Amino acid sequence: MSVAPPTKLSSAQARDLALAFFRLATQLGEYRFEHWEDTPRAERDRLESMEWRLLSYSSDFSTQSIQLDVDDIQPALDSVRDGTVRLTRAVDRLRTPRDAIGIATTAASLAAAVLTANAAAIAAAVAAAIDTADKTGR
Amino acid sequence: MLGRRRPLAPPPAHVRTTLPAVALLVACTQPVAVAKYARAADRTTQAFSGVAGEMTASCVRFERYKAERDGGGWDDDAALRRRCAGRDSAVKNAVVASLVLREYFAALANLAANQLVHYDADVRALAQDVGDAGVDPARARAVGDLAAFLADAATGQYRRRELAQVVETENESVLAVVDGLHAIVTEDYRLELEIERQAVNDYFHTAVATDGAREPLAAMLVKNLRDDQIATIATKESALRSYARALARVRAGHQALYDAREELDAPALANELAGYVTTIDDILAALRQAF
Repeated sequence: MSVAPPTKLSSAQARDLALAFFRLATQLGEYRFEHWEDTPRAERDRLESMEWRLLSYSSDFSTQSIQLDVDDIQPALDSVRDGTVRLTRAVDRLRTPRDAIGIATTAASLAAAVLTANAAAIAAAVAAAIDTADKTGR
Repeated sequence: MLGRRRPLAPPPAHVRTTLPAVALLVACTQPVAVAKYARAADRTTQAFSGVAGEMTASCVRFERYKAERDGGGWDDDAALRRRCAGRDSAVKNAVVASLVLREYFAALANLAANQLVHYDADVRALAQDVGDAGVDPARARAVGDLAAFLADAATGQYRRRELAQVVETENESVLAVVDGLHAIVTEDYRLELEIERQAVNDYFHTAVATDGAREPLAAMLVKNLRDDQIATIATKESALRSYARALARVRAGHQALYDAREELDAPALANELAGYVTTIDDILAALRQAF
């Protein structure tokens, strides 16, 4: 998958990602509480920890959107958005808490890669997100 | 990166030929409504610093909940604030933009009252810092343009005769800065409050799910505490929506000035501006209760 050279997010792009990771965090939170009784304590704790991390990334992207920088990385962001959309849809197909942890971990890696603005890291994280989403529930 | 100052263009021919008559008319009639609008806009932009402070405070509250659940259970205030340093820095740049805008509206009020513009040299230095901080070049340029105008207006001893041309020259920059502040309030801060609400719910829901069955009375108290926190956030969200409406009135008012710049004493403009001022004052009074 081709990705644009490393650069900074525009305000709108940062807002878009802030919202995407916020939604993922809230969906995973809902899953955790809905499956509270049938999820082992260790996996619950792990999932909760990833939720907090995703909320933190959402807040980080929100901060970037305040800062505002207009260099365009639209091609890279299209692939990142595709990755977050697939992960969000995959939450509806979760079969085990371990699936949820896998989605959360992949999403956190994707957010971290975008924040580093490293093209290779973003490409690898997007590929991992798509792979995880495709395998979830199958 | 400070924006390059656009020089005031010479007045068009039809203005030059009628200038003596217009000058006489202007000297007799003060655009009072313009001054009132400018002061209301000044008060609106002044309120932004309170809103901005809340954005950092929301980040700190989020970090506190996160530390309780995910970070070993305790963090002192300084540590939490360090985690919000990026937010604090971004917010400070937005505050500088609001400060420059505020100075602009104060200058506009002075010009409308045929008074000299007072200029704080620190404002231009702060605007320069915004430009150097990696902020959106378009917004940095708008902030820089307004700061440059303030310097020109002070050194050039602008008075009411320059009012129409100032409105014309600076309208684009004013709208750009207002739009930037509006987006921060309606999108960034709104999301930050949603994140905080999610943190509150996650924190208390987890506590109740873990120990609620064993300690039902404690669970009830925890839920009440959660409700209080959520209600506080809802109050802030409501205040934010109101503040966004005030900013929208500021924007609409300046656009109205621009559209009627050839006739700033027109009764229709005065009526329109008076409506904006009333709405702004009502909103700011309510805001003082929330922040």
